[in-house]
Amino acid sequence: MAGMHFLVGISTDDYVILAADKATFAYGAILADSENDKEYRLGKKLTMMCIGEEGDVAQFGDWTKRNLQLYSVRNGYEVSPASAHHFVRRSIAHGLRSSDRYTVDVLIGGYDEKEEKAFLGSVDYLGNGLAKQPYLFRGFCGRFCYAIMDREYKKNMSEAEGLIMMKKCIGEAKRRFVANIPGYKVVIIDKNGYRKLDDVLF
Amino acid sequence: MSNFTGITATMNPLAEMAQFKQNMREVAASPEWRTSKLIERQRWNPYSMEGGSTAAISGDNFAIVASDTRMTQNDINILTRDAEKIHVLNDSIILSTSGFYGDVIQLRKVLQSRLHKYRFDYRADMSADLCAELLSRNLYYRRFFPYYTGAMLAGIDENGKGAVFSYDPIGCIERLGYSASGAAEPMIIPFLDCQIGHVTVAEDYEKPPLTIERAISLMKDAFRGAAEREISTGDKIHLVIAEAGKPIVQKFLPLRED
Amino acid sequence: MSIMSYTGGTVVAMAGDECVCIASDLRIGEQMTTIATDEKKVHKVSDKVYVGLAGFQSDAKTMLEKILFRKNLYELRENRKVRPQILSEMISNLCYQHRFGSYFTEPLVAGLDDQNKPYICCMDTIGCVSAPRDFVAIGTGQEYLLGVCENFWQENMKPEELFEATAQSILSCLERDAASGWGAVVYTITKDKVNVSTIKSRMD
Repeated sequence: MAGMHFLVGISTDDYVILAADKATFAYGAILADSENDKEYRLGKKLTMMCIGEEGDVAQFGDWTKRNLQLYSVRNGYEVSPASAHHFVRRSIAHGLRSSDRYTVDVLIGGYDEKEEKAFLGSVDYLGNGLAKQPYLFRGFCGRFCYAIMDREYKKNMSEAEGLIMMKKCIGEAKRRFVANIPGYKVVIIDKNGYRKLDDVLF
Repeated sequence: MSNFTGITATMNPLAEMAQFKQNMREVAASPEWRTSKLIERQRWNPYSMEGGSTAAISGDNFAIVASDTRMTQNDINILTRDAEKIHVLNDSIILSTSGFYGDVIQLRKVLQSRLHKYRFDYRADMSADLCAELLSRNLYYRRFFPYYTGAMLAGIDENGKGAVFSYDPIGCIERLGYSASGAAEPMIIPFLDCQIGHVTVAEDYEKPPLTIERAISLMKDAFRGAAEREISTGDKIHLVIAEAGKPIVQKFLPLRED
Repeated sequence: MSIMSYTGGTVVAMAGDECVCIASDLRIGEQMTTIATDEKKVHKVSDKVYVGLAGFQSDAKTMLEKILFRKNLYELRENRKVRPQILSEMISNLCYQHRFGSYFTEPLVAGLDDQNKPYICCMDTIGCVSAPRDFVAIGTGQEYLLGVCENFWQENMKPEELFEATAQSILSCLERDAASGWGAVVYTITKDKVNVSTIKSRMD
């Protein structure tokens, strides 16, 4: 559960909501940027939120994005969310055992056209990957939020209910966590495609 | 100042990078953990562990305590095959121990002398409940240089019911239906959970009552299972049975000797 | 905390009369925090051959990929199904190839061979195989399991008895092992079919 950043992912069969804080911290104490975008679009209905070592995030995010782009150009179709998740996990796990590793934690959200189901997965910097989960968090604040979601999550909740829950988690992070997180970027993916929602600001 | 090697403008950054890469290659080719560099001299340790395990079960009107009788050094050397790990303190109190045997002996002595004094003062034997508290306090008294023992106290309490008290080395006390301590604790406890606690069966499942015969045979099974897998447990089962209104009975049963 | 208990998890297998049982818990955590409650550590490799991977989840996943890769190559090259004995040898080789930088996972193989003889084995992280005739256990709850299995295992158990023994063993283990839990999944492999049952345990 790395650092002060926070990623939220909530999904049902119909949609997946991802939220990422917009902060950059320096020296673990200073808010250096409040408009940092942690999202990397991996496809039309596929996206990745990424936190961790600042340089690694930029490098790894871009590398993943370009590789999957290359795949779709070569093959004429995009990878499924589950395959993208597999690729990301393998890359991190492989990197871990070489001399240059990426210290990044990611959430991957997407909509699988074949299965007609939304997908949510995570990979941590050690290569521990979880796929097809109802809710996942990365970052310290996840510790409060797993408890909230265990109680509140419903399998067939509507998009509006999902967004309320996401806000509840972010609200809890705001209330309990010491760092000042300026705001969150929120996106949603469902069968109609990708949408960026209004930022959650404080 | 001639051997000053701090930041200098004359240092060639390319050479520095090359040197860094060379160091990285060297450390990757022979990482530190592959050499014997990490072996440190062991420091003297005031404690040692003599292995072995004990377990106790309490029922409605009885408590049984069992232990093996093996004493080992470094989990490999057998020091003796008939060590005494269960100590009958009076007609209703049984102390069973594991851990550091030096502390066990000292602890027994302390308890015995306290019990002796109690008899002198009050002209009666101490009850198991009282002794349980006494043991807890004696353990906590040595909070910062503890008796390194996993103690259990069993017996018949003031109401004639079987009692088992379990302790950690610094006197955290808990009265339980059954307990185990020592090297094979992780092997004995889940078995007792299953057979006595009935934690793995459905609510409506008919649970057999815990008679003294059943408790004894479960205890034998538990120790035979533990002796099969845990090398510092073996030789003999020392079984001590306390039943309300009866004198304490002690038995020795055979166990694996290898 | 050791890397072997970072994510937690337990797998056990028992052998019976022309049948084997393999069971695992469902929890995945990050040290003390539970983050997923539906991760099986038992994977199907062939019709009657299953592999269990306890230990560090990341390495278990990587290892599973490599195992399936090698098993597929074997089946293509030899044009026959893999036997559990062969699979365990294969996994052992794979583990030992990473002798000086091993994967932090202990593999376990359970299955029936072509004569429907049960075969179970487990190995350490560098592929030292032990294939006893009774039962094997790996993972954070290993010690707990060995204690109970020792008492529950009997010679020549039928599938129903074997299932009961395995289920009771893993449930007793989950009662005490904090790093495993959230239910268990038990595969009973017999010569005609494989029975999968998910059982509830302490859900914490």
